[in-house]
Amino acid sequence: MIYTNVRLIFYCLALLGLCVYSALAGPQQITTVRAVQENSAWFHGRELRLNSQIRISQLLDDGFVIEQRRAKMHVRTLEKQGLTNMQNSLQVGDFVSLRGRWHSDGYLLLEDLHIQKIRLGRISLSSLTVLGLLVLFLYNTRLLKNA
Amino acid sequence: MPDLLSHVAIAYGAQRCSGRRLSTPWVLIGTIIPDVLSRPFNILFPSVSWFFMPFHTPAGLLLLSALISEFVPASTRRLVVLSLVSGAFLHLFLDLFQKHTGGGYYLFFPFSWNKFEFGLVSPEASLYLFPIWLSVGIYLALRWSLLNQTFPKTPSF
Repeated sequence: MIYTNVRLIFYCLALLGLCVYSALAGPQQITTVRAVQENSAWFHGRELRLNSQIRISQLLDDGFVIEQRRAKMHVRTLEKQGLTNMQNSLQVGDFVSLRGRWHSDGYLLLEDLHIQKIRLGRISLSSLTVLGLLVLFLYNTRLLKNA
Repeated sequence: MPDLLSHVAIAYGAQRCSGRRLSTPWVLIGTIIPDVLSRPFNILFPSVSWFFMPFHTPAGLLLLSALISEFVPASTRRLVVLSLVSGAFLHLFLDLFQKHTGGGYYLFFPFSWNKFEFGLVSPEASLYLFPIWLSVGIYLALRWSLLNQTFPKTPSF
């Protein structure tokens, strides 16, 4: 019994350690809109990959404006890259992930764009699956006995 | 992340092919755990999502599987760990085939922050295949119910 408790405590502490380390070090691993704007000169000419909670805030003639946690960024597109058609299907509020090159003049030149158009569909389907499995397992009371 | 229905369908198929060496319920639990414990926070509470990120990494899932197995009888503990880890790792393996604009997955966390993925299909691809999953599911369910029907025995002469 004592060994079981020791193992339990060990697993819990190890998991907690991983989670705390991730929470502390993780945010430094990604580029945020705010970080780019605060260090604009340093990021000039660098390739940026933005994919965490990026939403379309405004559509413009030469591109669009993205928003991430109240920080906004102007994104310009190039017609020759074939992004115009994709840009036309954009709507304000769409979640996107994108790759581009930052210019210290205050805009990101778009190189790749992914619109998460059916994000809600994926979330709904996944939620229904989890709910279905939960019902199935609760119904099947032999789960633990006959594992 | 392919949707969880695709994950569950593939895990179920793989488990059946494994010749019942693993426990189906625990394989299915293992295959949904990575998304259930990390994605809701990405969507609803992005500010705390990094705290739950380890549950979508091999190291975190190994520890979690070991932790969960402590709550089952000792005689089935090994089977439960194997099933959970198999389901969870199958989930991670399938996720690797996706192509993300922002990179990939932290497979070697906490030892490395390098992202990795094969980058072959769009994350939405699995949802476009939903009608196929549904058709296969209905076919298997019908086949299973037909096979399990009790037919009257042929009278012997």
